[in-house]
Amino acid sequence: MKILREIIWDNMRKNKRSSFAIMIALFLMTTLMSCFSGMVYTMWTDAVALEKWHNGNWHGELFDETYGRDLEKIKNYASVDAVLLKGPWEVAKLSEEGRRIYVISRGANREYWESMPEKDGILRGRVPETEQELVLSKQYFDDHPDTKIGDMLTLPVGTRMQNGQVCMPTEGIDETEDFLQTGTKTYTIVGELDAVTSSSVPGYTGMTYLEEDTIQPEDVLTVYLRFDPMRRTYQELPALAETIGYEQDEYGEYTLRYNHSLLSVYGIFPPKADAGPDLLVSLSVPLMFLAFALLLVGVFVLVIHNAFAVSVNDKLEQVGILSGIGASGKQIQKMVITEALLLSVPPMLPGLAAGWFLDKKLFELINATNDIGRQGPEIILTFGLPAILPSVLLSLLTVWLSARIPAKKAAKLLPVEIQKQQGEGQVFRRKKRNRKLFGGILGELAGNAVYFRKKAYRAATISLCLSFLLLTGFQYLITIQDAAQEVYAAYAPKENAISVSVSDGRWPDKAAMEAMKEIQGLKPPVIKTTLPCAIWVPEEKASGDLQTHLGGFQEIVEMGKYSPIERDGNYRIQVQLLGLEKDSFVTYCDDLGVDPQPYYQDASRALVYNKTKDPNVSTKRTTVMRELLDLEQGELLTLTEKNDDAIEGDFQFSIQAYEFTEHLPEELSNPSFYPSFTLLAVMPMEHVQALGASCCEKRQGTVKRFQAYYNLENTGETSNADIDEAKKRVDNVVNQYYGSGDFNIGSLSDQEKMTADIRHAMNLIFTFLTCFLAVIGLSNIWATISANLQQRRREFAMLKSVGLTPGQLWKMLCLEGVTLGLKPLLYTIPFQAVWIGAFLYTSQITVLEYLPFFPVRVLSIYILLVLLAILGAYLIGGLKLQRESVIEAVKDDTI
Amino acid sequence: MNILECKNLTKTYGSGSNKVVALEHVNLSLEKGSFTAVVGASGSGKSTLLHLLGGVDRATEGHIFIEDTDISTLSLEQLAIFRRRKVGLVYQFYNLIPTLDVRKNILLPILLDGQKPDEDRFLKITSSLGLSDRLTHLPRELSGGQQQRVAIARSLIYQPAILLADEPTGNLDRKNSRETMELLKFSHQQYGQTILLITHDENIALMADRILTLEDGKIIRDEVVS
Repeated sequence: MKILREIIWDNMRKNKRSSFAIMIALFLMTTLMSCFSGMVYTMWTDAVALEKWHNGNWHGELFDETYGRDLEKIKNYASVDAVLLKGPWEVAKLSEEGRRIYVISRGANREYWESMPEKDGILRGRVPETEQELVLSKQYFDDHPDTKIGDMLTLPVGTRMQNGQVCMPTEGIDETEDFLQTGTKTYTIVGELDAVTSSSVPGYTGMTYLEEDTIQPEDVLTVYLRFDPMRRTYQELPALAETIGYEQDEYGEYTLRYNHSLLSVYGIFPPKADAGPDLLVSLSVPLMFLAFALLLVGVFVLVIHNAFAVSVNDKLEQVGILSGIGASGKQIQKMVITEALLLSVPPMLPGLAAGWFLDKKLFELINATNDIGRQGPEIILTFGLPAILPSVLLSLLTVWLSARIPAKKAAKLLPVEIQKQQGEGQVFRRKKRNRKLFGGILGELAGNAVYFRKKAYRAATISLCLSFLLLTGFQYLITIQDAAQEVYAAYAPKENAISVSVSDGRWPDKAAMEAMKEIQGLKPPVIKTTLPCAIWVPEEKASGDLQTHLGGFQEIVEMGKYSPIERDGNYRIQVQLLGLEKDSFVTYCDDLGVDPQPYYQDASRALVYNKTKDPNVSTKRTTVMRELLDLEQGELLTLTEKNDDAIEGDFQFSIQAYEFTEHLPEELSNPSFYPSFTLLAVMPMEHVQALGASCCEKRQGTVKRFQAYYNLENTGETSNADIDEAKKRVDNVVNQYYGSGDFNIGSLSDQEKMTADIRHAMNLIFTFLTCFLAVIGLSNIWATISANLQQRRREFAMLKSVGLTPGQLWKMLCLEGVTLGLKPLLYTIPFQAVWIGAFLYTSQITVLEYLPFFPVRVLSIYILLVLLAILGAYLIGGLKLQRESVIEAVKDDTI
Repeated sequence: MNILECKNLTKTYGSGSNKVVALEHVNLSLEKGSFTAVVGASGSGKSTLLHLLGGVDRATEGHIFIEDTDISTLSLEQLAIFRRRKVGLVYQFYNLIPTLDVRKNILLPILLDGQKPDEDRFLKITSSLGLSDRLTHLPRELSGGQQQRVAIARSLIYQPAILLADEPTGNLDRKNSRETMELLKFSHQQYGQTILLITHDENIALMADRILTLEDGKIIRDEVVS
């Protein structure tokens, strides 16, 4: 209706102030919607990019044996969009001796190189373009420092032979194996590959180019595929498998693999029968974002509808006139909503741009702290139509919903009801009790102003409450952790400065261990290997301690939380044989005042640590230990390697509990190293290795691994820099004996750095969320304060006419601002008390112990900023009130 | 003795071709204890005169002396305090604070001064205005007449030098209008209160002792009512 449109434009022009306030709120809303949509879209595109970076751009793999002769059918299959091929392995023998004596490589076709992660793993050089060009593992370059890109290697090629049989090129080392040469090949090294393998496979990994013309019908290929349309992958791949003659297994399935993680990012899931929990997990993230988007809409409706309600109130006179003349409720509603939608247009574009900018900054921040846990390229902000369109739609939806609430109310009012409401602007009910925070008449006026307008401030109050709760919750969490760390430092078992773990599929190198014992600045380490095994005992073998305090094995098993199990009336108790290297064992015996010689004379003798932590009564301060088994000195214990049903072997052997010990070596004394209810026996390493050699292959592998634990010589204050320096020295020594894939070194400084990085990242996230909610709350408060002061002009004019001085006016506004700012914070106190109580209870520290860590500074700064922001709003509104003529304000405009 | 004197009082709005002279060189004196009505057509300057005398607006030219204090020289702060203690204002639309009860609305000037109220005076005023049983009510719980009585009580609580009433009966029915006027007259007689009243109602004007007629911002007639 033309007249209504005219009225709308007229309103917007006349009420520039309130229109402006609304547009500010809408700008903020659009900014945050845009930021949210951009963030979600970027996270999706990043998820796709990361998936492709990690696992490659493929949809399915023919996982059964696929031959060169099938290639034609595969390529010609209608829905196959791309075929990524890896050819057969090629083994070339190096002339040198050592751990790695082969170059084991395979070729890949162009599509493979373009689509799979290996191309991003080329540290130097380029992708091979012919079968003679080779990219080689960086381990080769480390072991052959003179090698350069462009060098040529002429090597015999052939097959590995073990026990006279051809074995897989990637088989583990067999000391007696042979090489059967079938030809010679000259490679040109064109690149260095970021690939690290254990020297249990005694070769350097490499890749060449696969020319498809050279593929023979009998060649075994690895085939990855992309399908078009992608969503048909789960249907097309089995159909293709059938076409090329794959056989189904006993379940009627073909041996296929799918790139589930990439497909699920595109919303493509396996057929229902296979979906189950995976589908739920896959949908959980999109559903979460949808829920968050709706929450955002809900929060902003709460915030903005208030601004529209105030605007409608300002126009009540007009609405009353229109209603009196005969405008229908629907027309009035339409008028209000149309005005709202028109007001949302100017801030739309700036809001979208601001959202883009916020996203840019946010992802720059995230990229800067991305060392923790993320391996991959930096996140690239993507902000196309898929981000803009949802932002616009969500914003319009929010505006429509926000305006609809007051519009419907205004539409339902009768003309006479409108006129009644005009004089007062708001209906004031009797206060139930005195709610002023401050004394005196000014305090009462300020308290009344906040109390009687609490509906208008509700959304802002809720938002500020949530913001403060989030901030305090996070702050309490980290400060209580800090307090606990400090309090328990005295009780916590000492952590080793540096830990080394070596595993190359071979028995530990004695020369390496000797070299590792003498590193400058470090105490001699404890070097050990471990053989996990088990003992089966009847209930009576539980110690008196265990029976009295824990109810014996039966009750422990019934708890369902620990390793002991019951079978045929006996209980399987885990055992770990700790094999200490010679010096470590001798030092340990010296510390105990025990003669080590008997243990070398008889290989079955062991020092038994027959203790276990009582989990029911132990706290973070006190660890209560109980005797585990009812044993006697000299007793023979029959152990089995089958400590788990998954272990294939069942080698059984006996050890003698020659002596009991109350302490383990200090470096191994951390209870967290061992599961509860595990018997520990300390023996010389060679005896444990001998036992391990008789176990199954898996257990042998375990025993072939060894660990070394170091602490600094300097027992005083040590810094992370000292530890890092020492770690470098250890690395240099170990590197002389083992390749980079055969060992890893950890240190306390690494852990602390990781913890600090994680905390920093969490800090960023929580600060962002806290600020986000605070901005919502404060923006709403600003808009509401501005509008409310405007509405109360007459009240202030009346007070001025009665004798309210300028100073008193400022004081009243100040008190109102402080009341408004403090109330949400005070409302959260019960919740904070509960949170602190809960955190303290779980951390087992007292209030007094926590007090020095209470985040006074952070909370004070936040409260101060909130109060300043609110007082700022009152300052701006107050300046106008101060200048305003009393007469103009007290005049009544009722027709 | 003159409780109020204004000399050469002028108020103009705007400038140039948009200039409006609301009051032009008005000279006026009010005796202590007098009851004066100001009448005139709409736009004659009645309300402007009242607002200047009440200190809620500033004159363009001229001086206003209330109890020998030239209020035109006071700062905003001083003016507010002066208004609080020396001037009582009664408006057409009551202008009570909606969130305060009747008692506090009446005592508002004293509370703003941080003073303890004189309970005897309070009880006397409220009983004479018939408000004793309404002291804990909020304004919206009162009728129009009762609200105006609260406004009158508030204007009297500090025993001001002068009580200024701007169309106090404009929003009331005949019965309440009569009652209001009788209350004003009562306070004038009982407390010797000096009252200046603006009205467009001749009957109400005749209840005063003196009638000033304004036209185009000037006093054109000044007569004593016999």
